[in-house]
Parts: sequence; structure tokens; C-alpha cells
Amino acid sequence: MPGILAETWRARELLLALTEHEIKTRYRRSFLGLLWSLLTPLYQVLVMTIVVRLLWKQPDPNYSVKLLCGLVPWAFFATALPTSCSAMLRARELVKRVRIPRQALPFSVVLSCAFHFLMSMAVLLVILLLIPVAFGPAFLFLPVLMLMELLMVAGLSLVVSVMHTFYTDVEYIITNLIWALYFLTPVIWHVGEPWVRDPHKQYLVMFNPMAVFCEGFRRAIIDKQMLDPVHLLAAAAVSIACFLFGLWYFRRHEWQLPEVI
Amino acid sequence: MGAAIQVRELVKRYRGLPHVGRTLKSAVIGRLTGTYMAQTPPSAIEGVSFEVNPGEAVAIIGPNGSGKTTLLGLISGVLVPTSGEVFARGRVCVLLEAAVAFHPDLSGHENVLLQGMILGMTRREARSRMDDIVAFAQAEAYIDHPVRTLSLGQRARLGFSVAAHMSPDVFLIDEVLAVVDEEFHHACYQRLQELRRNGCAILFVSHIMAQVREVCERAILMDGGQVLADGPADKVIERYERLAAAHQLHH
Repeated sequence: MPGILAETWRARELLLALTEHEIKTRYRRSFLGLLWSLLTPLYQVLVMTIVVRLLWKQPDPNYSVKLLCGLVPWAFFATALPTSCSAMLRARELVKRVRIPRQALPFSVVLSCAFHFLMSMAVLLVILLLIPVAFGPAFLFLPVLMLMELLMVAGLSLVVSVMHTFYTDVEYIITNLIWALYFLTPVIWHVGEPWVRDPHKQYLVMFNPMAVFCEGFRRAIIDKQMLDPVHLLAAAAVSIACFLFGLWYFRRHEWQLPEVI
Repeated sequence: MGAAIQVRELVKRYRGLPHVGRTLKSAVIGRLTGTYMAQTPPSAIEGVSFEVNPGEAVAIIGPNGSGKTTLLGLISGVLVPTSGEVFARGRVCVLLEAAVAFHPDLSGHENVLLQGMILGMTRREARSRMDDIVAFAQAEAYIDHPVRTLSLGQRARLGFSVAAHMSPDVFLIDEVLAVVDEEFHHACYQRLQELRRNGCAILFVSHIMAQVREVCERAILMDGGQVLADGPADKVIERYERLAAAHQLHH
């Protein structure tokens, strides 16, 4: 297990070069380019706000900001995971012909999505300055949540990129699971809402690590509060477990990749 | 000084990953009709031994599916042997097909940098050798253009040039020099000779016997994953041509 981390560290330059390559080619031939990673969340907020405020008569005037706070960490998870499924297959010839640290392929996808994550964080901060929302010490908590999420997504990306090479069903399964998780996670709703006011339900919902990241963002930015330490510890444990499992699974099956790809 | 490449009793069998490539559809149809199409595994290696000394250029020839590419995969460390030993000393470099690492929408410059790093250079090395790489490929005129605007031959030039500037100790070439023009061929051969003088061992897979004769003095003939002949290129090529003729008669 430490072997694969040391190998990744030695290949850090290649990892960064591949990440740069991912970022550059994602919006190739598009006129707006990188602006898309800023426009997409804003557009989603606009549509969801219209739907929720007008159709479902959501009374909360701060709904849009709350939504955006949850949407930013969610979008990272929901794009990085399905995109990293095909990381190996898209670099088929490399996997087959060159001895490179292959974990760099899914990791570069995750890092490029993390870059877009940071870009949308910048948009979020600008909006918070415009509203304005007071900045408090609870904001220091955001990088911790981001790091935990990065660890979890990185570990999962190793697993899905290998499994997807064996069976391309994996991408469809992941996409469908993420769709269901979207509704289970407080993204378009939040934990304080009347229908989740039951404290028992609230308590249970937060054992989903994505709920901790999305609701954690919202609490830190808007309510200037931390989450229940039990939930934080649970999410940290899941993140670390995902990361370690990813490394173990990858080491175990990696040698098969050039044979079946 | 020891051998640059050592291959001893090397065996590679594809155990076949039976689940891969099976679909629900084929399973159902197989059950209904009583037929099951087994996947044919890629050609394997059955007990291959040889050594290549530093500075030596060895051709690997043989019919399609004789295990040449598998052998190169084992030497480069991409594949894991089933049994036996394989050892390559120093920096092993694979000459990629031009199309492999080149991203069509990025410039030649960006692609050369990326490919250099994929082959194992640091960013600094790749940057500092950039001028030499471009000059060797005679690509100054189009190095900043997106790679999709380049011809196949121009890409192959860049690809060869990156790999040749890696200062490899072992250089593996798998049928990639077919698309470049006569003039660049000549430059490639000269570069290969230069690498050899510096102690680089070359393994050269090709179906073009004129190329083989030009680059290598020694050849290894493979068939069915085994070494049929290993010796002076002319003799081994003769043997291969007899084998190919026999194969044709057979069909």
C-alpha cells in the first residue's frame, strides 16, 4: 500500500501534466471554454430556484445561496466519478504499451475535476461577497471538507476505473446510483426543512458522507456552525476507508489491465 | 558489463479472464443454442530465452500472432510473466505509434512535452531537449500547430524524435517506422546507430525485411510463442521466408 503512494509521488510531474492535459482538452473547441465550469452551476441554481420557489412554493428567500453551497461539492463528486470510469479505456494504447504508473490516469481525471471545483468555489465566494454574507472562522472548515471529499473520490475513482475496464456496465450503474444519491443528499433540499425536522431522521441522513460535505458547506458558510462531530468522524472514516480500499483494489487488479483492455 | 536484456525460460500464458467480454446476451443465446464462443486468448510466450548485449540491435520476426508484441510487453514491464525471468537494464523506452500519445487538438509542442513525460522524462528534461527533438524531426514550421493538422508522417517523425532523445538503455520498436519518408528513414537509422554506439540495446519488430537487414545484424525468429531461430539476420530471414512459403502452401 505505501508502495503505490510512493510511486504516485515519484510520478507527480506526469500526474500534473496529465491533469493539465485533461483541463485543456475538456473544453477544447468551445468558444466560452473555462467559463462553462462557472456558468453551469449558476444555470443549475437558476433553474432549480425557479422550480422550487414557484412550483413548490419554497418560502426561504435564501434558497438560491443555500442551493449553490450544496451544489458545489456535489458537482465535484457527480462529475469526477462517472468521468473516471473510462480513464483507462480512453488511454487504451498507453495502458497496453507503456509502463506508466496507471493510477495517474484516474487521478488526473479527479484532479482536473478538483480544479473545476476550485473554480466554482471562486464563483461562490464572489457571490457571497455580493450578497453579502459575513465571513467567519467557520470558513476555515471548508478546506477540511474538500480534502475529505477529494480523498473519498480519489479512492473510488481507482475502483471504478478498473472495474469499468472489465465491464463497461459500471459507468451506467454509477450514473444511476449517483442519480438516486442526489435525492438522498441535501443538495436541493437542506436538513433544516420541515419535512426533515424529525431529529432522528436528520441524524440518520447525515451518515451519508456526501450529506456531510454538502450540508457542511452550507452550515459553515450560512449558519457559521459545525456539524455534529459524530457525523464528521463518520465521513472522515468513510473517506479514508474508500481511499485505502481503492489503493488495495487497484494494486491487486492493475496487472490485468493491459491484458483485457 | 552484463547483458542489457536477459530473458530466461520466459512463459506468459493468458489465463483468460473468463468473465471479461462475456455479455448477458451471449450467455443467454449460448444457453439456448448450446453453443458458447470462448474468447481466443492473445498469443502467449512458451519458454523463451535469449540475451541482448548493450549496443546490439536485434530484430524479432515471425508471422502475425507469434508472440512478438507480447514479448516486448514483458520486456517493457507492462505485462507480468507467468513464470521465468525477464530483466532489462536501465531506462527502457518504447517507441509508440505516432497516433498514440498525440492529442489532436493540442499543439505539437504540448504533445511532445506530454509524450516525453509519459516515456519517463522529467518536465525539465523534456523542456531542455525540446529544441533538439524539434530540430531532429525537422518540425520547426509546424510545432505550434494543433497535431490534427499534421500528416501521419509528420506525427511519426515527432514520435520517433521524442523517443530517440530519451537516451534509453533499451529501445523497443514495434512496427512503427513504416509511414515516414525515405529521407527521415535515413535519419532514423543514423540515430539508431548513434544510440547503439552509446551502449543502447535495440529490439526491432518489423515485417519489412529490408528494414530488418538495414538495422540489425542479428534476428530472432518466433512462431507459436517459441524461438525457432536466433542468429545472423540473413540466415534467420531466409529461414523465415521458407517458413512463410510453407505456410502458404499449407493453405
